[in-house]
Amino acid sequence: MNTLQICLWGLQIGAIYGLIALAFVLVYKATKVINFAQGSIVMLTIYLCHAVISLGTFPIWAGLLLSAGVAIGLGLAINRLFMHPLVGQPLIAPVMVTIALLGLIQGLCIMVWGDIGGCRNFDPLGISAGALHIGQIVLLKPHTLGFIVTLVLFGLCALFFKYAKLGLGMRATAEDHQVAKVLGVPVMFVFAAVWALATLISLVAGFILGSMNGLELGIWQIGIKAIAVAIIGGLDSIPGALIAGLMVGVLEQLAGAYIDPYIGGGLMDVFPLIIMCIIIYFRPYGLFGLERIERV
Amino acid sequence: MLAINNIEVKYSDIILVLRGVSLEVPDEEIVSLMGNNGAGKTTTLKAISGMLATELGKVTEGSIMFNGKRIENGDAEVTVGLGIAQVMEGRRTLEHLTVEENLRVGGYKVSGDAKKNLERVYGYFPRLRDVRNSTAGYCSGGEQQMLVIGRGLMARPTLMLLDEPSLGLAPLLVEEIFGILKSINQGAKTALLLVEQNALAALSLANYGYVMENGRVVLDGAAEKLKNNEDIKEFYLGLNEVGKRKSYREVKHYRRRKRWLG
Ligand SMILES: Nc1ncnc2c1ncn2[C@@H]1O[C@H](COP(=O)(O)OP(=O)(O)O)[C@@H](O)[C@H]1O
Ligand SMILES: [Mg+2]
Repeated sequence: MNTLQICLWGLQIGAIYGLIALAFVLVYKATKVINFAQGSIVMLTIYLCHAVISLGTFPIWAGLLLSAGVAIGLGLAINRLFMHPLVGQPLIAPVMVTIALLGLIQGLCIMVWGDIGGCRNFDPLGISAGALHIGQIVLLKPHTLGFIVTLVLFGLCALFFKYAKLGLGMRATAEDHQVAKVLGVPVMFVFAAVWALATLISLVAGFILGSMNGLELGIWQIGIKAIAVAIIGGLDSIPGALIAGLMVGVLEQLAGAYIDPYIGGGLMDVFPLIIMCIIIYFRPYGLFGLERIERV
Repeated sequence: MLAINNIEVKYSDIILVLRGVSLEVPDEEIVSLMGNNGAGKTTTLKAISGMLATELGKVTEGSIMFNGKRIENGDAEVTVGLGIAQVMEGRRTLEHLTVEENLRVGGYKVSGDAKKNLERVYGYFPRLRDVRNSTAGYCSGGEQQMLVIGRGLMARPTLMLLDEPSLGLAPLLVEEIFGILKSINQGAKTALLLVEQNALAALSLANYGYVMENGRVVLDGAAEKLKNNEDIKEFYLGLNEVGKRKSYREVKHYRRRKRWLG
C-alpha cells in the first residue's frame, strides 16, 4: 500500500469524524452543552433509518425522507424532554443528562435491535461493495460518497450561517444568550433547531458509516473520536471540525499502517485521543477555537 | 406610553429588590433614571423589557403598562416586537460578529427592507459605517457603545431603554453620543428612558428625572427643577466630570449625605 492511498482513505474516514463533530459543535456552540451522547445518537438514527426502510416497499428516496423526518423528530424530542426543562439550571445539569442519554440510548438499541445487532446488510443505495479505480488508487464507494456529502454539508452550513436569518440568530445565540434574547432572537427555537440539525447530520453520518461497515451496536464509539476531533478543532469552530476531522483521519490511518505493525496494533483506535492531548497541551482553545476578545 | 405602577421585584423568589416603584415615560419624551450603584435601575429596565426572567427575577406586585397593554413578566422576545428596545449596560456587543452583523441581529424582529433600516442607523452613526466589516469585539469603546445603541435602533423601537451609555467613556464621546440620542429622539420620535449615574449629562438631555435609592423612587421632577435641586447638585459634585467613575471616597461622601434621600 502506498502512502498516497493511505492518506486518501484517511481523508475519507476523517470526513465522517468531521461530520459527527459538526453535529456536536452545533449543539455546543448554541447551547454550550457538551453532548456526550453524540455517538449513541448517530447509532440510534441509523438503526431507526434501517427500521424505516425495512418497513415497506416504498422507493428509496421516500425511505430516506421519512428517516430524515424521524431523525429531526428525535432531535426535537431530546431537546424538549431532556434539555428544555433544564434551561436556567447550571450547565453541569444538562451535560450530566447527556451522559445518562448515552447509556439510555445504547440500552434502547440493544433492547430493540439486539437480535439483529451484527446485521451486516445495511446497503440501501447498493454501493457497499463498489469501488472506483483511478490508476493504482482504489477508492471505496461509500467512503467517497461520504467525503463528498461531508464537503457539501459543510459548505451548506457556511452559507446558512452567513446568509440565513436563522443562521445569524444561531450565531448571536452562540455568542450571548441574553443579548440574543433582548434583541428578539427566539432563543428557545434556536435550541430546538440546533438539536434537529444535529440529529439530521448524525443520520447522514450514520448512513455513510452503515454503508461502509454495516450496522453494529458498537457504532456509538465513533462519538468518542468525534468529540476528540471537535476539541482539537476548537469546540466552537465549524471549519475547525472539518479540518481536525480530516487531519485526525489521515494521521490515524498513517499510524495504523506504519506504527501498528511494530507494536502489535491498537494504536490506530486511540490515536485521535493522543493527538487531542498533545494539541490541548499547546493550544487550550483547540486549533481554531474562539478566544474571548480581550481589548486593551 | 409607558407606565410603571407600584411594582415590586424579587429575584429567586426571596431577594426583594424593588419596592413600590412607579414611573412614567410619556410619548416621545426623554426620561432619566438616576441613582447610585445597586439602587435598582437596571432591575427596573429588565422588568420592563422582560429580561428579568433570564435571571430568575419576577415582578411580584403592581403592573407595567405599555400603550395600554400589560407587559410585566412578559417575554423579552415579544417585548421587542411591541416596540421596546433595551440597550444593556456594559456594551454587550456580539464580539465575534462584525459590526454590520450585530446590527442585522438587532433587526431580527423587523420585517421589510433591512438595507434601508441599516442606512437609517448609519445615518445616525456615520462612524459605524466606516467600521461596518470590523469584528465588533475589536472596536473602540465609543464605537461599541454606538454599536449597541444602533443595534437597539434596528428594532425600530418607540421606546428605548438605555443602561448607562456614558459609563467609562471620554467626555467628548459622551457629548457626541448624547447628541446623537437627542437627534434619535427628535428625528425618529423615539422615547428614551435613560439610566445614568452621570446626572448632569442625563439631566441636560432629559425632560424629566427620577432618582432611585435602595429599590425605591425617592425623588422625581422636571429636569430643570432637579438640576437646581441643592441635594442633587451636592450629591453629584464629585461626579460631574462627565463619565468619571465614582471613587471610593465619593461613595463614602455620598453615604454621609444619604439622609437627604431617606
Ligand atoms: N440577578 C440578580 N439576582 C439577585 N440579586 C440581584 C440580581 N441582579 C441585581 N441584584 C441586586 O439587586 C439590587 C439592584 O441591582 P441593579 O438593578 O443592578 O442596580 P443598579 O443598576 O441601580 O446598579 C442590587 O442590590 C443587586 O445586588
Ligand atoms: Mg445597573
